[in-house]
Amino acid sequence: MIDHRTADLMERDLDGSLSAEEGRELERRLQADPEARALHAEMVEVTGHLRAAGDVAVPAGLRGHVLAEAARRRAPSAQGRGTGSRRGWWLAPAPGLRYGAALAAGVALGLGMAAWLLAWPPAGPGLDLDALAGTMAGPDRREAVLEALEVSLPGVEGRVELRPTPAGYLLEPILRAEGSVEVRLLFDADEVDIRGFLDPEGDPAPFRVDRGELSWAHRGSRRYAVILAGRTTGEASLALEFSASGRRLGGGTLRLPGALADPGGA
Amino acid sequence: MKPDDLALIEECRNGNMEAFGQLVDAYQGPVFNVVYRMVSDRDDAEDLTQTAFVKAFENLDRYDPKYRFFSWIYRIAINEALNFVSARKRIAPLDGDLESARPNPEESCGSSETGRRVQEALMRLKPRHRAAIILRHFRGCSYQEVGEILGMQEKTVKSTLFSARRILRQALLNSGVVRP
Repeated sequence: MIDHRTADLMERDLDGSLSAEEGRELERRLQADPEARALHAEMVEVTGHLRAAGDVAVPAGLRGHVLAEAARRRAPSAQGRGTGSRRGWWLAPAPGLRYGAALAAGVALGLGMAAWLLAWPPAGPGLDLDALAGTMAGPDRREAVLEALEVSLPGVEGRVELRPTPAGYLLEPILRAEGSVEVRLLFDADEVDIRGFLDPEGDPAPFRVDRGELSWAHRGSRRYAVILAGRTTGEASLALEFSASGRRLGGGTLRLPGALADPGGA
Repeated sequence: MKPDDLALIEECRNGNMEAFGQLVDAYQGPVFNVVYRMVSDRDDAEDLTQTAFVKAFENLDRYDPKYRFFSWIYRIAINEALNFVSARKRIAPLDGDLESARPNPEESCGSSETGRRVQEALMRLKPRHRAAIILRHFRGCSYQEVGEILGMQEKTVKSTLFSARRILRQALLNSGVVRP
């Protein structure tokens, strides 16, 4: 058992903050205690490896993205955020978009094509989809992913991400499939409201909507965006199911928070 | 608190974006590295770093100059990373068909094989233990600073570091970075 004083001296020795007298005291203690001596050697070794790992390079565009987003947030036209303004909802390629130029091009194309924004149900008092469409080619910053599911099933791969936005939650299935795959999003209609959806690929997307279910047939590589909101303050579940030729491939769940966190709460 | 940081913050509060740019220049490297070590994914780290700076910018009026600016921005960034890690951990496929999102080892960007293994070993720590190790050993924060950033008492910081290093050593041992 290593006493508190020895542990404290060992800890401070790692960053060279011991006085000469304390250094001598530590040396005496280590000489007298093999267990402490072994532990001290371990600590020196581990911290040496940590130091050797060094820093990683900062992404080249980080400063610009930060300043652009900060400027956007303080712009007078953005000050309505949180009070019904639709500004701030956007769809732009993520920094880590991993599915190639074809998808990226599709997304970029989609940004300028507000006509592809489909709404279900017709825009209610909480969301003006025309206004929403006009803001899509906005800044290139995205909120951090709240939750995500990696999809790795026979015949279909990809990722489904859930992010907060000022207009609600953005669910983005980014999928690649060999053939046709049926995708179903299941939820409790009393807990979750689907505000709208977007297929940036340009095809008036094959979304089918029923109470508590949004489904579509997926082929190839595509990225979709679904705007969701919780109807209650509690959490809700979003279940994703994948099937092909009537055979279930698999599924998973995401958790939808009931209320958006205060984006200004540091 | 560096005097020039305080002056820059004051200018930011008066709407000077160039002053905010200088703060970003000064701290984006350390903040990005802290977040990267927490989440082990460059894209996620970039998003979270951006979010942290923007939150700091939006909350400059709430900044208390009795704390150093880097402590404050680290705290915001670490909280973002902890929330992110927590959310990532909550991913629980119903039937195990879908794999939860985890950092891709290929994306770990240590400059060497050892660096990659060190990062993998870090990811085996509990998030708050990891944060303490990162702040102390990668950023050189004092115990008091680590305590301020993580909301811990100094003695808790020391015991946390003590435990975390032992776990870390075992992980490094298992990966062959250190010898028995």
